[in-house]
Amino acid sequence: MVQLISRFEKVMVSPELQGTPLGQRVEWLFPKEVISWQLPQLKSSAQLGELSADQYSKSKRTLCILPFPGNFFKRCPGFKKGLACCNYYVLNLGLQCPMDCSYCYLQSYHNTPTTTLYSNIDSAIDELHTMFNENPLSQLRIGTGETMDSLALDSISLHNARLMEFFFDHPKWYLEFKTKTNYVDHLLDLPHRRNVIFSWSLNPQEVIDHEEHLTASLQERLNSARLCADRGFPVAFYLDPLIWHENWKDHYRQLIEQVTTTFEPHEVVQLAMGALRIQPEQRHLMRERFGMESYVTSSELLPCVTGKLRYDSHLRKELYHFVLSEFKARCSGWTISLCMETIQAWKQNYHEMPARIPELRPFFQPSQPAHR
Amino acid sequence: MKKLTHASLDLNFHPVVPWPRSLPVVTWNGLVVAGFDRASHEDAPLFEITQNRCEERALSLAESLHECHPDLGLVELGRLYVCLQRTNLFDESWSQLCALKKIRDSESHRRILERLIQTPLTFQSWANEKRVGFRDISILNSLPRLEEYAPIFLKIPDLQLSKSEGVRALELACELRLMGHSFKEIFCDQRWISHLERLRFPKTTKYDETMAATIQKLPWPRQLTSRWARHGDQGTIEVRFQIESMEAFEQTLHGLQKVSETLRKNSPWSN
Repeated sequence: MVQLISRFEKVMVSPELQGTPLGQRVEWLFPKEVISWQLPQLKSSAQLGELSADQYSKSKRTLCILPFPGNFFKRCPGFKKGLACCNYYVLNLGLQCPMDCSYCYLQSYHNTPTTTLYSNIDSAIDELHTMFNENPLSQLRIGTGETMDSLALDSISLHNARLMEFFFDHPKWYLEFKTKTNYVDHLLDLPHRRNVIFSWSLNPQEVIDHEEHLTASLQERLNSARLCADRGFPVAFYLDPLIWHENWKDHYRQLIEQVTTTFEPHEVVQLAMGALRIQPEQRHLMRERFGMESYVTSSELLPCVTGKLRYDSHLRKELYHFVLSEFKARCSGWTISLCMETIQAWKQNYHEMPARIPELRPFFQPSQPAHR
Repeated sequence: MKKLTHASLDLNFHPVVPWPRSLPVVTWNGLVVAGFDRASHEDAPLFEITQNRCEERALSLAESLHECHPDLGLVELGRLYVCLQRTNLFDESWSQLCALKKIRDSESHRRILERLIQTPLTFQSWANEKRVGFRDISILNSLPRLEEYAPIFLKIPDLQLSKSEGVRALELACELRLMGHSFKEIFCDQRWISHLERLRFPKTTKYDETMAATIQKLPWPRQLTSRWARHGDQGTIEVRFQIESMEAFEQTLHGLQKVSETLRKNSPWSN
């Protein structure tokens, strides 16, 4: 995999970070000429328009490190009317991603001309403490991979080691790192209580080559997952988004073969799948940036009840049915849930809502955290 | 009221709505901002904004343009954008004008405006008449060489399409061209949008056609009409019937039971 941080052409750091461990680390990692100890003058969000294709691409090569004044902790966007929600919470420690997947949903709303990394991990951990004190009996799953890849910029921030300390002391809560990188080495030796989940979004190498630019190869992702599992970390896989393309069955079959020969079902705490979906407005930027040769821009996407564009429900059913049966054919112990899917899709594919399916119930039964 | 002597026509963006004959030519620091068509007549009455302070301060160029042309379409705005760039007042005026017009001044919007005014004039007139917005014509930013898409731009105004139909046809036709379809494949004489959708969504079309044919062959009761209907990502069977008696109701239910049995034996929904 390419060294993602070497792709930054400019690194702007809040002046108050000069001399701090994070500031020193930036100086150590980046050539002096790319670092600026001044933040850009950004327009207010009301003035900001959507980024052009060039601006969006450039935002992936410009890093801005600064403290975040707002709340880090939020409920996952899957908690919406019409979708079956798996009670997931997110901790957003930055915004934008140095990798470049054609379908990335950040293209629908990211309007800042930089990749942003928040420096104040202490504030985020304070928020977690407050949440825990308000709900000491709750069992939450918290992910850091919603608005950025959980591991892509960790070699700069080292935030994940700090988070792992908190979760070591709070073993009822689960932390999930979602990634398309293979940057796990620096976390492998840290102490944990099997409540830190390393999860990968997986797709066949054909799809990775075509749509998931600058990401780790499938083999690299699986190798990293194996390393994590060998150190006792739970691992999770998301076959998401499933992307229809010529020979998709062969490619997904090979992927499933690789997963099932590398892992036993009991080693994978969650296996989920979701078919391609995008916000309608992001199609323009995607088309400008990736042309119509992309499997995503050229695909047949239709509006669904939640307003997103999705494949025809019959095609989704075919994709899900295929993946499910391929896993089950190899071992009946594999349990797969749907990610960000409609209630109708659950009923079509599983004939039940997830909270009524015994092996999925732990993920989908309502939790009682304080709502923020 | 002064008489017009040497006013600059640099900002003549050819507004669609003519400036009322009863009003004077309006200038801002010697730049004509309204009444362009009469500005070449030396005897035309003139109103110089910067010398006639309405309130405590003189209006800016952007404010003057907005006051004289409160309702500009994207084509006019695009022409004005290019005209303003010819002056040294662009930087201070354009952002302010966008704010007054309540539109976002983004690089993406600027590019759409630049490209819109490069399209054939008939398309520009259509876009103006239909009051298209930025989102409606975002496809323009995806076209590598605009001139190669001229047949599409010429076709849309020709077909008397509504705004939503035209916008849909523009996006579908341009996408199909980007995907490598020839104009011969893209154009057809009748029901153009349906034709474009069939080309752009071939798998869905084929599935719908197969399902429609299958549904038609089912043993539906006589007093009932059925069809395969698509609602976004969902394809469904739509059934309609009218009942005038209990007997007819029971007959229909009995007939539907037969349909149900047929479907159970050979479900069209199985993969």
